[in-house]
Amino acid sequence: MTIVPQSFLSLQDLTKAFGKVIAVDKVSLHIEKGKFFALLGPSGCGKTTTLRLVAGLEKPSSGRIFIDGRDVTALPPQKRDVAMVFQDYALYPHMTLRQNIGYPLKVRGFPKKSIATRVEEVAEHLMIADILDRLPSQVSGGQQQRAAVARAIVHAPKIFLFDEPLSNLDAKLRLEARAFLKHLQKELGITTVYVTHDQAEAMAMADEIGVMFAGRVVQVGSPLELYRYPKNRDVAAFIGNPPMNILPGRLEPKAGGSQFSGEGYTLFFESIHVLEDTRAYLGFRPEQAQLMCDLKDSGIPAQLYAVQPLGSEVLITLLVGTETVYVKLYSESLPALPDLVRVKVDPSRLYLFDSTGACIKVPK
Amino acid sequence: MKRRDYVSILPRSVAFAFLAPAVLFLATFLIFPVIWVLVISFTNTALTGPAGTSPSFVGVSNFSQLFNFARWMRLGEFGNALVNTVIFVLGSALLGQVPLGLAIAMLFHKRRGLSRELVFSLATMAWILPGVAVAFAWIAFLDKDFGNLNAILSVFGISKIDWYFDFPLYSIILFNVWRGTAFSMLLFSAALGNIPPSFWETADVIGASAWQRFRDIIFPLIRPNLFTALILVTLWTFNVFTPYLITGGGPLYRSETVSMYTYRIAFKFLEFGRGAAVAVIMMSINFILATIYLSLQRRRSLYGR
Amino acid sequence: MDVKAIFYKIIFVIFVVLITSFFLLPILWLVAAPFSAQATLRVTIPSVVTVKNFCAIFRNTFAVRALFLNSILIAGGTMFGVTLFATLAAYAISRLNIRGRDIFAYLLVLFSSVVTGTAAMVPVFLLLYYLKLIDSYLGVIFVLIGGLLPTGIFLMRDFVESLPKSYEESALVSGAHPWQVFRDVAIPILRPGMMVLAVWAFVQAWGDFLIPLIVIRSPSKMPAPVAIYSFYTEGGTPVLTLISAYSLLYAIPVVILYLLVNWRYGFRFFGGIKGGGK
Ligand SMILES: Nc1ncnc2c1ncn2[C@@H]1O[C@H](COP(=O)(O)OP(=O)(O)OP(=O)(O)O)[C@@H](O)[C@H]1O
Ligand SMILES: [Mg+2]
Repeated sequence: MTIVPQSFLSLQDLTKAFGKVIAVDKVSLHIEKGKFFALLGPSGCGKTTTLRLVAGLEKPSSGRIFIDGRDVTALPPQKRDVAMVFQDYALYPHMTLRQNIGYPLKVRGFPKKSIATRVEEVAEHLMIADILDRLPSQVSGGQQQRAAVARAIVHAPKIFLFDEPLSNLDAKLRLEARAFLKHLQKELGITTVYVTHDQAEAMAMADEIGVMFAGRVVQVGSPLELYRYPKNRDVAAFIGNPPMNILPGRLEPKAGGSQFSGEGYTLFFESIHVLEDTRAYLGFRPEQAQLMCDLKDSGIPAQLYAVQPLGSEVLITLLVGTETVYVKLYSESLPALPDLVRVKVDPSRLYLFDSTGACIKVPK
Repeated sequence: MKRRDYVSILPRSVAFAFLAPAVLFLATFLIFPVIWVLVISFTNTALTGPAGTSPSFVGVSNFSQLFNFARWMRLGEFGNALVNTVIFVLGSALLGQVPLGLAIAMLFHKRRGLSRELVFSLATMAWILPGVAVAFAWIAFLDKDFGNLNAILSVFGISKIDWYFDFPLYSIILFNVWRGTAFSMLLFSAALGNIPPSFWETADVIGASAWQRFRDIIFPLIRPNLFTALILVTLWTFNVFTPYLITGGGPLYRSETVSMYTYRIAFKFLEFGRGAAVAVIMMSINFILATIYLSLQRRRSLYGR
Repeated sequence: MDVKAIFYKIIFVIFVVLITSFFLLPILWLVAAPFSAQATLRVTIPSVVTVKNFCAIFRNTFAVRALFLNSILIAGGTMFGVTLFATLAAYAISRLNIRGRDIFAYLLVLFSSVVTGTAAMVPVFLLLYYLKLIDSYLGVIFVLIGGLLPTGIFLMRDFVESLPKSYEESALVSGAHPWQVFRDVAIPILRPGMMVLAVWAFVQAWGDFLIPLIVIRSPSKMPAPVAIYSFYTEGGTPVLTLISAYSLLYAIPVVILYLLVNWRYGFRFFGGIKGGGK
């Protein structure tokens, strides 16, 4: 007996193996209606495969997919009523933008007249109405991307699927497109799954993010949750710009808590209890650290490596032992720093990860 | 490129419907004939006479007749055709088309413009014009009294040569070089085009001579294409029938190749049993050549080219 | 240095002249003879250019029928069959995940190179004989299609493989049925490839001599390359005026198609474009 899930899009224990490679490994996701969900992860972790499973372009090895309370696992793509924007847009090169955008309506047998009005309407909305009669090769990358989006929304699908739709745009256009897509999604209220390997993009656009590593969804949460409470070291090291600093060391039991010792420093944690001496990792965010020039200060001893002014802030690269550590200072002027400094972090802002990488302490 | 196993874009039933006509044709006109020709080669099938109505099994007698060593080298016999074919293939394919095609490709590798257009277009024309039309042109070209070839040679003080009568085999070799060089030329010019320009420039910078450059840089890079050309051209030349339109295999079978011999036995004498036996031998040779070619291809794709 | 450069230049020019003459001289007759009143085997610039020979051919209904009906029917039918079947098959092979499709491709090349030329004609003739297809257009067309299909499928497969699947997938997700995807998306994008394939098949069938020679019996069905052998006098000497004019007419479509392909796509190298045929 299957239990029909409540959420709008549900993946249950979805698995896809290509021969020996398990691209998607028991992924379960539940996405509410109207939400913008980002699937985030490094290259090759199985994001595209997951998206293609939802679209029906791959057959799952096991598991089920529900859309709007209906089991669509066995349905072919054309019966799922989803829309997908491909990384290369896949605009048909022999059709004008008008024909491209109208195609989903045409194959659904809409009358010519209503296709024409609907295409105009959507194109107007996406500000490509004046180039509708050009071929895809005759418009810019940004316009192609809008046309691809127009083609996706034209028949008001139940779900939008995006596979890294911005990766072919240059940096400036990408920022514009982010805002535009987010605005459009909110306006239309269509449930969206958005695949990206760019954490900034996911943070900026999504209501909810699923972080994937090696075929598994490791953590699901709002952008802020992921930023504040990463479940493990991988997530912590993936999110943030630059991501969290992670330093290896050892954790041993001490009266009333435990003590972390790294390269030339020790830190005491009151509420953490371990049974024996173990490997552990200390974590802190670059934007939450401070630099002390006075070597008598307590803190993590570090060697200055490089200073990069970024305008409103300064990014400082340091070496702690052999590990690289970033510190972000909100200052417009370049601080004068000695070669040896101390990195200081408010103890309540520190993270600890155990030897398996699981997070055992988060900020209060 | 990573290989992706997508869900089929075509449902299986549609895909098989798409494949059906091609498979039907291939099965009927490619696979079935191979099997059948084997069967016929052991019979005395003919279209006329008593064997025409009820062919009977004759064992290997068709084959033993072909390889009757007492007489097989006589003009008009199988051995004669075989020797002619070997000379024909060696001369026109290995010594003619492939080196000439390579030379043209090398010469025009970095040249554009009229001379290249001219040479490439003419060679390609020679390759694709209908065989019958070019055969008549060649009969005229080689004619003893009026032909252009002798006319030109006479400028150099060479007296008239009766090409058809004195050099029938050389005539069709020359014809076949003319006819088929375009393939090697196009193959090598594509292959040379794939060599990154930096390879040539590096050689220039280190001051390699033209010959060193060819031997150390170009040759190793195009060696696979050289093998491809050699094998394919050999295969095609072995089977080619167009020279028949020029000499008819004559005079007195002196330019008869195996391909013409098969035609004569099967379609002039209508002795299909014996014709099939020759066909089996030809197909076996084709099979060996094709297998060498394909294994070279496969090895090459293993090395990612 | 300069002397050396001049020396190389001279060598180059000599080579170009030699090569050009080698490829040009043999076919000069084909261009000159048809326009002279008393064509011989000699190539001369005709003192009086005449089209009398062509008029004679156009008055000869047998010759006209051979060239403008029979040859076109055979080449056109073959072209149609090869293009259609090869496109369908190549598309299916490329878009269907049958295990061992590489083996299929391998066997295809193998068989097509083994079963070729006169060797193949022996069993094929008997096959047609039993299928009652001797002396029919269909017999010639079928044999030609069978012989050209493997190379055709190969050629076409290259085109299909170079077509990104995301076009078709995007259409599928848009709600199109597989046959709509094929008709609306795949076919239009594959059209240039199909054109090349069609031209190639036409030229192959147009120039083929052996198969119609063996299969066709009645003069009314003979295509041009067979019909041309009727331009002999009672005594067996060729009527060179007619033969040369007819050869030229017969060769012209190939030249035109070559120019067309060369202009439209550049005569690139399509993996042994000429191979595989009979
Ligand atoms: N058709 C296939 N056959 C074999 N392996 C595949 C196939 N498709 C994907 N894979 C493998 O599955 C894994 C996940 O691939 P997928 O394309 O989903 O990654 P991704 O997260 O989208 O990566 P990227 O960010 O590079 O696009 C990879 O290891 C990939 O090599
Ligand atoms: Mg991807």
